Amino acid sequence: MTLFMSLIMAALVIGLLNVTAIDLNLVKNHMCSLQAYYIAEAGVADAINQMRQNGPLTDTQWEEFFPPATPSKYNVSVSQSSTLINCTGLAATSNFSSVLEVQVSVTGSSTPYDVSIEQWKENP
Amino acid sequence: MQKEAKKHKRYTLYAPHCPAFTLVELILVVGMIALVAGALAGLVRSSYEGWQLGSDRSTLLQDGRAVIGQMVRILRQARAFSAVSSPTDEAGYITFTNVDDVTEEFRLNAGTGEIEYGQPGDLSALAGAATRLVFTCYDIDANGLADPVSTGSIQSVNIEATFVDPQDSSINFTLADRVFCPTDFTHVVINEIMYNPLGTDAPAEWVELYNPSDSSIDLAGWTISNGTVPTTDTLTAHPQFGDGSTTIPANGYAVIMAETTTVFEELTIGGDFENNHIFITNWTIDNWSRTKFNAHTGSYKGESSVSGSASLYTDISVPASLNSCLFVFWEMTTVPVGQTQITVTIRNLSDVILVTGYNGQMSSDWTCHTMDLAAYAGQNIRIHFSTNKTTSEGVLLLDDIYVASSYVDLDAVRLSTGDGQIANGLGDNSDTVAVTDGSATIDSVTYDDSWGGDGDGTSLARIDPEGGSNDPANWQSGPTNGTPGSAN
Repeated sequence: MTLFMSLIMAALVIGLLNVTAIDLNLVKNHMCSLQAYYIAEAGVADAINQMRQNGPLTDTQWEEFFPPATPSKYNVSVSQSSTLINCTGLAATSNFSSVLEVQVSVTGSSTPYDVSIEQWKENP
Repeated sequence: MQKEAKKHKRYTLYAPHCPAFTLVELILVVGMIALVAGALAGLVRSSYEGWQLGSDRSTLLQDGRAVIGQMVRILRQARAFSAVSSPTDEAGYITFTNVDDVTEEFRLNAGTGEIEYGQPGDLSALAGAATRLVFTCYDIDANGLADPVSTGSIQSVNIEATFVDPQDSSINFTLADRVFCPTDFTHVVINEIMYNPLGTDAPAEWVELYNPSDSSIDLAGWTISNGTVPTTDTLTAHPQFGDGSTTIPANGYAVIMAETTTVFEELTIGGDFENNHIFITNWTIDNWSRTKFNAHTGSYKGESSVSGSASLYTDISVPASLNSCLFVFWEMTTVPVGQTQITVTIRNLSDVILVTGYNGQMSSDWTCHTMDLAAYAGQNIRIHFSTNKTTSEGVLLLDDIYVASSYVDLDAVRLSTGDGQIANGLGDNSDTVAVTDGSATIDSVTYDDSWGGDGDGTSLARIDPEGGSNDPANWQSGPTNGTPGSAN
């Protein structure tokens, strides 16, 4: 009987440990995805800023290490008549990535152009 | 048999159906239970620690998300920056004007490890357990701004914040984001140029800047240069005209002048006390004299040492056409505070007081007073000083009394190039005028005399501040004498 109870308790505790380990991994993954998300957001901000300065961008793409001097980076592509920004943020330390797809409209005739966000999709 | 039975004596738990057991069996069972309980306790403890770790990480995560999210949201709407830490400072701070024109600040308190936010001097914790907060700023060309950061050049800010578990420093993570700021932060434009005035160029040239943004911009440390023979002057508050400010208010103007620029016409004569003949010819004095040493500027100042009343005055004609007419004087006394009175009045030539400009105690250090006389345009007026000294001690001093009419709007900021000309003098046929904030070029105009303002007393006036700086179609001749300090 004692042995039986002990086995049940051990199973419960081991189960609990397993859940805790999963939780820890979840939190860690959430941290990494958050890092990747903010890197992607920086890329979108970069694209919007260029549009504010220069008006609509012709279909183009570029990548930039962010923060500078780290292996993390964002990759931005602008397409669909310069109104669809697709940015992938990569947190290099965890290899996590996050994708933002942002639909904008650009109006105005001189700097600063007005850039309005029409649609914002996270990891579409 | 009895011995054998005693050796294997069996114990019962006084339960009706419980089998009896030996002492050895009892010890074995208790030992096993202890072993299993110990192992379980260890597992429970590990499980609890794991849960605690997850909880701590989760808290860090939430702190990080909250801080970065708030910083990005608020800095994105900032209207101007006034101070920022060095890019190498890991306990960083950034001070800015928020969307409601209130000065606020983000700062890492290295002592508590908290990232704080609020108005300077009244900060409250936004999140804890941070060990690093670094702000790296970039100009419009994406060049990193080195320390000391020229806040007027900031176009984007990288934010990096590192959060560490206070119980276990091995648990940390860094979040980074970038904020691009409205491009009109330093959107100052060269708006009007008097490059070829009537008469001698050097002291009469001036350049007007316009701030079309909704935020004030401090031009301290900015420079102006021209391109014929590249020469750069650093802009400072004008030592004689203006209020000492170098900040252009939102939608305001600044006029860059040489110190001796004839944009102003001085109406008083001899108010600097430097030439005795000129002074006594133009001023009516009663118990005032002209003495050497300790003047505000130059060698001589006005002095009165008698006990009782004293006065001096001069009459001037205020031109009918002008944008401003400044009356300026400097005063101080060595008499103990409270024992002298000075009253400065503007009178008509019948000695009727029109307005009292200043009425109070004289100052213990040289102090400047100014007033606008534009309301008396086209009139003859008397600038009258009267003093009353109730002690035989000390002296009363006056210096640099002048009234100067000006085409410069009274509200415009007056900036000086520190010498007698703009850079090394603006070219009469063509030239390049460039304004920098000390590092980056803010605006640059390469004009040609075919654009306008070519030596006939008119200025070269920009048509649309948002239009191209080097687009000939965006420039034209302004009115005679220009409109320095006001809209073209």
